[in-house]
Amino acid sequence: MAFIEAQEVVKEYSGHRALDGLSLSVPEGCIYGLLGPNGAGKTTFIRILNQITRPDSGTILLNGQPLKASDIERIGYLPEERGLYKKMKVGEEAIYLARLKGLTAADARGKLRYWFRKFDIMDWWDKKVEQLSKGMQQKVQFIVTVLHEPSLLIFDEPFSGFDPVNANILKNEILELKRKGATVIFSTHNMASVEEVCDEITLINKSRAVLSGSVPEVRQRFKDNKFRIRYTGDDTSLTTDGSPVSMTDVRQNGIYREATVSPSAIAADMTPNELIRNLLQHVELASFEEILPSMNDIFIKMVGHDASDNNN
Amino acid sequence: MSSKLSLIINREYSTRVRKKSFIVMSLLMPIGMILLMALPTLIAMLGQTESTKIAVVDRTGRYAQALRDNNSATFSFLPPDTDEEGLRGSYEASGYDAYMMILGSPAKRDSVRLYSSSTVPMETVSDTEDALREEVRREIMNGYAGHTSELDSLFASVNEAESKITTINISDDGSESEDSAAIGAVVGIITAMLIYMFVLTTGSMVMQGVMEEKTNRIVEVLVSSVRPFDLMMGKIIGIALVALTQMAIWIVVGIGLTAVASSFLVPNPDAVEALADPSVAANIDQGVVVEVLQKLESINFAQIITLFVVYFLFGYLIYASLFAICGAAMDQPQDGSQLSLIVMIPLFAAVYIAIHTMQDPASGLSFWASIIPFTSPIIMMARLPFGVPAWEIALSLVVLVGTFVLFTWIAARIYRVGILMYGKKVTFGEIVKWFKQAE
Repeated sequence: MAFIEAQEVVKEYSGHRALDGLSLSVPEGCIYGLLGPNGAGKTTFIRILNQITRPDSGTILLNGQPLKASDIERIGYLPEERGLYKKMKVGEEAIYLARLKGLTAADARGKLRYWFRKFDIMDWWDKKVEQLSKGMQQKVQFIVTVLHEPSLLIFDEPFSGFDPVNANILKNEILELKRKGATVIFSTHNMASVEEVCDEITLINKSRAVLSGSVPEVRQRFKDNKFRIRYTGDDTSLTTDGSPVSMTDVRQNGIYREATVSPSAIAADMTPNELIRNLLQHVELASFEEILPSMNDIFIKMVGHDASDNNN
Repeated sequence: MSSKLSLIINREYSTRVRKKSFIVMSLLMPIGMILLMALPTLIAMLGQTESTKIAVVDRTGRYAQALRDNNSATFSFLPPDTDEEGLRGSYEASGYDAYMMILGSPAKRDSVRLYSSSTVPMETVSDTEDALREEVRREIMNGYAGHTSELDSLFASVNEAESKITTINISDDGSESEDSAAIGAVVGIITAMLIYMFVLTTGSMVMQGVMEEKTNRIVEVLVSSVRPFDLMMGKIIGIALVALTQMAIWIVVGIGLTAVASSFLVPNPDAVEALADPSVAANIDQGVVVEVLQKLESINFAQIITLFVVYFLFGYLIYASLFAICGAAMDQPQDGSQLSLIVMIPLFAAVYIAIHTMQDPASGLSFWASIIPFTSPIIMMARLPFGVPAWEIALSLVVLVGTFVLFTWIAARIYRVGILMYGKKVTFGEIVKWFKQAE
């Protein structure tokens, strides 16, 4: 059963449809990427999950049950635009925010100690937030998000504002949370991180879900029969016109030559095996590897196409 | 009350009362206030240089003989049948500072009336009252002549004998106002100003707090944990408690300081006796202090303090909800000034009306301004010491509380949408849109 099930969610803001019948389902215990260009409706959907706003129509089920007020205590939310009370002391503020999520003061203090030791930041406890650097504040904010051990975590552009070292720590923590059984919703336009951490994605564009599925499956769906080969031997007959194989990006790499190959226009329905057979007639193959499109390519293909529509 | 609301109230309260500025304000303000209040008394005591020239018309022909020229007053006695209208027109031209009409026994209220276009020094009034009281006592004793068996009740009557001068201020346009109201006017204007100050400072605190959360962007985290309504009300209630705490400290510190100060102003009788030098004792005129204290006693402080708290609270709640709207509408701190200025205009207006009310508490303007909820917390305070009919207070309170409910509801709707809106130029139309948008 899906952990989150959104059905035909519609949300309108004074004439503008932020969500136009969005449906998606998030399996339990996965990292779910919510992709899409700015203004696609990601934040609106996240706010609906957090019960900050209510949808005009459509339903959202959490564990099979409609969202209820107490569910917010099971959610940890790291918004894209982050902030803390600058004048409060770090420990005090973290405990306050955790108590707003339903923890007792003692419970919050204990859990906070665990995280502060883990990140080795115990000496920040009595510092004012404004005394910390931006990166340090982000760390505190992350701790605040996960402190009450929510079963659903929502990260909106989590890596923005983190330096590479801290971004890596954060990525590992997110994977760790998943291992412990949390379901993570991950909203971003950083496609490299999507490939690294996401199990499933939904691409939202213009207020609708335009693409859903597991990351390998989506990449399979968008592959365009291109292969990377390493070989030795004479490739001149392959590169001439009329060859059933089209060859691009040829270059010498040590003793091997490398190239990207695909069936040419005159033999468009050639299978990979037939392609290999064709190649073997001319060259000695050392490796043959399918090229899958990156999530970035897919994103640009899906969204960029629409974007050019918008310009017309 | 939900536990989250109390958490928010607690944070709003404790972060503010721990601030240095709060502690400093709590201690310095009462000292400043006491000095301010003591100043007129001190001036009245020390500033008296020449005696007041008073023309006396004694219609009874019995009490004027008790008046003797002294340091504070010199008396000229006009015939008992002098025309008052004529006197009023001519007394200043004749070189008098004031004229006094004795219409009956000074023991009866309003029987002795002291008219002047300027304020008659309190010392003059109290000295004259003392002299008249002697005459009243003499009368009482004459009444007992021969009945020595009733000596006890005689002593009691003599001790209780009172005399009362009603001082009446004649203004340039010829209208009269009872001068004994002066103390009341001072009390009224001070309480009115206090309400103004409290509403303004606490209201701005609400605005600052809302804005801080919005510009900080912490608000999105907060509203994923608590209802926006709780967030807004928690802040408003927390800051109200800060203000009430401050008032309580002021009252305690104020009473303490007054006790200390009055031990200097009203000398210990033993100490005066010990000095055994009448000239030293005469320098410190207890009469003036007693007069002030008597007039203060005649004001219903229990009513004023109770209504002060009630009017402050609801006045604050109305303005706090408006200031919360301002805070929610702001993107950057500098954006808010225009919007908050609109909110403050009725407050500023109330101050000017309060000054008018101090002089004319019964005017139509004073009445309406004490009913309209944007000004009523301030204006009603200014009116109270002069006496306000119960139905007017009731009406004013009903309107006030009703407005509070309405405004909190409106503010909650606008607040909920506004705190999550960024990068939009906020116009009045935009705010109306937010209000409609909230479901």
